[in-house]
Amino acid sequence: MKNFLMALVLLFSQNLYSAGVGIGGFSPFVGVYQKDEQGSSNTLDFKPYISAFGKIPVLKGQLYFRPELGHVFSYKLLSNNKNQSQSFTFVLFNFSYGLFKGFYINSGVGTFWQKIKSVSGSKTFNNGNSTSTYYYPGLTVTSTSSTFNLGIEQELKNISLSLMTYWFAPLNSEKRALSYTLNLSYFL
Amino acid sequence: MKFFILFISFSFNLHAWTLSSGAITRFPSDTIALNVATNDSCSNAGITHNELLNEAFEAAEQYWNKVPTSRLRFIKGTTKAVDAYSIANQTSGSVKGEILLGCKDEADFNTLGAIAVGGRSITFPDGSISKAWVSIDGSASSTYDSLSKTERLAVLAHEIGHAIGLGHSEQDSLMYFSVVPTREKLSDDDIAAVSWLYPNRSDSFDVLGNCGTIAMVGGGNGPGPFQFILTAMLGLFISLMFSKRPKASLL
Repeated sequence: MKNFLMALVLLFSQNLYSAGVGIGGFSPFVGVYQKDEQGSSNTLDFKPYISAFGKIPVLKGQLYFRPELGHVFSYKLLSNNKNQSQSFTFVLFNFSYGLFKGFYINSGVGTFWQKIKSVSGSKTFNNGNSTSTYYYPGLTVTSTSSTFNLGIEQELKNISLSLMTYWFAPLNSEKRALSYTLNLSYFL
Repeated sequence: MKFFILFISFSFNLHAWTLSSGAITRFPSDTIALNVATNDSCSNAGITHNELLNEAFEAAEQYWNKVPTSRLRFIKGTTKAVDAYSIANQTSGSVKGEILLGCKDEADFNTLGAIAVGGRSITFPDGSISKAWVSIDGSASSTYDSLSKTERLAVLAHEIGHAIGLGHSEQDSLMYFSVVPTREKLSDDDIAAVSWLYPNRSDSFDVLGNCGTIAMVGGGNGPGPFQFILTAMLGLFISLMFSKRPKASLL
């Protein structure tokens, strides 16, 4: 552990690096859930998010370490659902490889924390011929997922546009799910 | 203005997904076996025990096993005779770590007005589910065999949802209280519900997405070593971001 942290300190202590902030949209779990009674699945859910990133050269002019911290703002799950919501916070450890002028391929691993919030209460619903009371829990729970990341980025002077994909549970054929972001970043 | 007030009064304080009980109850294990009791015939429901087992597993795979943010995973079990199995005493035949499915030829289904029922019992102080069941109407008036394959899978997945601790939802989703003929996947609400009740592990590098513990605000497990590393990296990253350094040149 100590050696690992020392290596990180050395890595971040390089003289050449840049940093930036970004905004964009996050589309979680493409095709995994059904959106309406007609049976259509989710494709483009543009949940707004913000991010901050660094860019540290590993090999001169070609390869960069590009860590990123992001937060997808809390959003409601169903259209009328006011008391239950979720948000994502993520950390990415990507490497960025320059293919040609200003164009990069980004790849790495990441961790997503899905925070699911619910306000306590109860309600009686139909249940067959009668009714039953069901309960809304009053706790916030965090589900942690690791991802494999792959995407492209085009830089133009102080801004960049990127499309990143995130494979949740990448080694599990049943649970594997694709999410992606579209991001506009500004180099500070 | 009065329409606005009416809108506000109807749109506030709405929820969607629920739990079956006020206390949080869940299976203690990440993997749950689906078994079928052979005590009662399923002929009135139009299927055999093996077909019920296959359909239950297909339902679990199509719905619950696909959630990347939940540690829960269903596996296919076997058909077996159990000591006792009835709607009035549904859990007596099931054992810990399984959901016991079966057909029942009982008048209770007419009283309930249900195609199938699902539930669980809790005998442990920590809220762990000890036994769980899904019963299909096997009476002469059963309408199970009149359902399409899509509807049958949705019904089984819905009842499995009750067996793992989820309640009804008030909006269109798998856990909605009525069968929706076009329901072929979970809704984002169902995904949030099962991820809330069975979240992925917070203390490991979970690329397999199939193990987990609970991490709750105000309780539960603390951060593990992987999260500590991430936190340390974040601290370094943020502090260095705000220090004065020359920018790297673009390619």
